[in-house]
Formats: sequence, C-alpha cells, structure tokens
Amino acid sequence: MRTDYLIETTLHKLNPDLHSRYRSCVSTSLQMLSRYEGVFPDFTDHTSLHTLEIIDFCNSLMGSQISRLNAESLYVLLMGALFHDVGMGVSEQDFERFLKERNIQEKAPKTPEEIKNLIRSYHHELSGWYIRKYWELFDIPGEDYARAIIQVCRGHRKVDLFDEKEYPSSFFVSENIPVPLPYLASLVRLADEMDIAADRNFSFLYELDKLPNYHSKLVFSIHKSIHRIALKDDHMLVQASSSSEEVKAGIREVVEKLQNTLEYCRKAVAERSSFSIEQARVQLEWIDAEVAI
Amino acid sequence: MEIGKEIKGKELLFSLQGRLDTTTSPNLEEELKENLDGKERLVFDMENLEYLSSAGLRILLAAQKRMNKQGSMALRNVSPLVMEIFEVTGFVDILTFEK
Repeated sequence: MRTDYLIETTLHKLNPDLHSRYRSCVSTSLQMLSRYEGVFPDFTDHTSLHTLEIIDFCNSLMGSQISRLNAESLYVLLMGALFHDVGMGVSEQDFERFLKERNIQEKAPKTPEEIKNLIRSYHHELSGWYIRKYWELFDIPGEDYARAIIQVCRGHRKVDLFDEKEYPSSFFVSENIPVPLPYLASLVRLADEMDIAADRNFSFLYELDKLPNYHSKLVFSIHKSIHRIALKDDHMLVQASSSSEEVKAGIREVVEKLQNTLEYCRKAVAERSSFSIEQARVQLEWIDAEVAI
Repeated sequence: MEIGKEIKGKELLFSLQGRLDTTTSPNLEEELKENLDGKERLVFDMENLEYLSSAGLRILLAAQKRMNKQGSMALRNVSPLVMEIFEVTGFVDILTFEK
C-alpha cells in the first residue's frame, strides 16, 4: 500500500480542525530545529528533513493499522514527531530554567563542550519540558493532549516505555477518547533509530572534508555508506557498502543498535497495546558501491 | 523523471517532469550538488511534475535549506495536486511559490 503522507491526509480527512492545529505548528518547530545547527554544526541532521523521515517511517511501520487509530492519536503522533528533537534547539535562557527546575545545577556545565553534552544527553526531556511550557501557544487543544505529546517526545530515547505510570495502556485525551501512548512512543523511537541512511545528510548540504574532526567524518561516512533502509514484510533490510574496515564496523554497530531498538519497541507494543510491529529483525546486506572516508 | 536545466548568471532553473520520488530524487540530488555553488537564486518549474513523494519533498526542503544561506528559492507553476501535498504536510508556509 502507498504510505506517503498517510498520517497527514488521514488526519485531515478525519478532523480538519486538529490537522489545521498541527499544520500551524510546522514552521515554528522548524525554526526551533534549525537553531540547533548553531550549537551542533558537526551533528547529523536533526532538522525538518529528519522530522519528515520520521513521519515517513511511522507511515510505513503502521501500514493498514492506521485505520484503527482515531484522529486524536494521529494528531498526537504527528506533534510528537514534529517536536521530539526541539530540545536540541532551546534558547540559552530556557536551558538555564530547565536545569534549575530539574534541580541539576550541580551538573551545571561550564565549558561549551559540557553544555553540548548536557543538551544532547537531556534533549528528549528538554523537548518535553518545552511543550509543557508552551503548549497553549501551540494551540494544543488541552492539557491531556499536551501530556500525551510530551510523553511521545520524551519516549523517543532512554525512558522506560514499559512504565505503566508514565505510559499508561489506557490514556484519554478527552472523555472516551483513548490514545495508545506505548504504541505512539514506540513508533517515534523506532523511526528515529531508522534514520541512518545516506539521505539523512544530503551531499549538497554537507562536505566531509569540512567537518571539524575525524570522529564527525567517520559518523558521516557511516551514514553515507548506508544506501537504503527498506521495510519488508517481516524484517528491515539495510543495504550498505564500504571498503573501510572502520566504516564497516561502524555500520555493524548502527545495525545492532537498530536491532535492539526494534526488539524493545516490538515487545513494548505487543505487551502494552493492541497494535503490532510486523518486522522482527534487521538484515544487513553488503552491496557493490563505494564511499571513501 | 526528466530534469531540464537552465543557467542564467547566478540563477539556476530546474524544470521537473514526471515523478519526484525515492527512485528519481538521487538524480536531482546529483544535479544540485554539481550546480548550486555560487548561485543566488534557485527556481523549480513544476508545471509538468506529476507526483511528489516524501523523498522528493525532503530534497526540496534540503535545497531550501542550502539556498537560505546563499540566496533564495522559489517553486513555480505548482499544480493543484502537488500543492495539496505542501498544504497537508504544513510546508506550504515555509516555501515560496510563484506563477
């Protein structure tokens, strides 16, 4: 089945008001996301291009199961995908407030490198904190909707999706309107991990030679050497090529991480929702092509 | 997909014909990589573009990102069908359209 723009078009059909609220947030979130580039110029893409890829992977992962989701769930999923990384681009002022509110001043960073590491480490929490603070500005219909979006943003890494208190199996954004939080958070977490192929960093946007250090060059080379990730009926296929042993080892590591995330999310969805993730394993296939480091 | 190219000084015009999707977007990526240096204006004529997949949309957004740093970008003669895609995804508000 064709899945391009499936979530967006289905939401538009089911609930034009919620779709319009989502649409009005797109440009704001993109401004936030583009701000991160000033702080992390040597990081892989976390802008609108990454967001689009996440939504696209969610479309493919859901497939025909989308017919079992209500408009409110689709809205929460889209908003979660849109805002999951905004924590990478919060202002200095908001970052200071976040540290204070979370009582983590003792870890307060002193050098630019320490600030970068802390933002990177907490960015999923920062994304949630940002929605909590500004949800009314984003025209989110209510506090329970905001809570659901926050949990999808936070859930894209680290947090425990099996925690019934944080990710209740039955969560209602309004009376009699359930939203399957464990499923939605799992979709975004898995889709985020799937964005590993070369088109994450377009060749006319990044030049390997201009990256500041060897580690960044290696990371970009690994992405550049993964040509495609495709969803098959029962597995994910990763096609890659490289003659560099170091890049090959990096690719194997990325694929192993994807396999672990797939297993975790698949289990969370199976045990904590009525939905499923059909793909059970990640297959790495080496093909003929070359990207030099 | 066929990609027509016209260069007038610092302006680069691509005419897109057919489908811009996963299969064809690498061709456009290659064209952009080879031709964007030094250009201050980039125009895509979409009169004959039949379909824009999410992979195609991503490459247009990437081009916009690059042109934000070195000039401007516009989408010309966008058909109602393709315009629907920009509207439903919300990217209609961040791109520049002209007739």
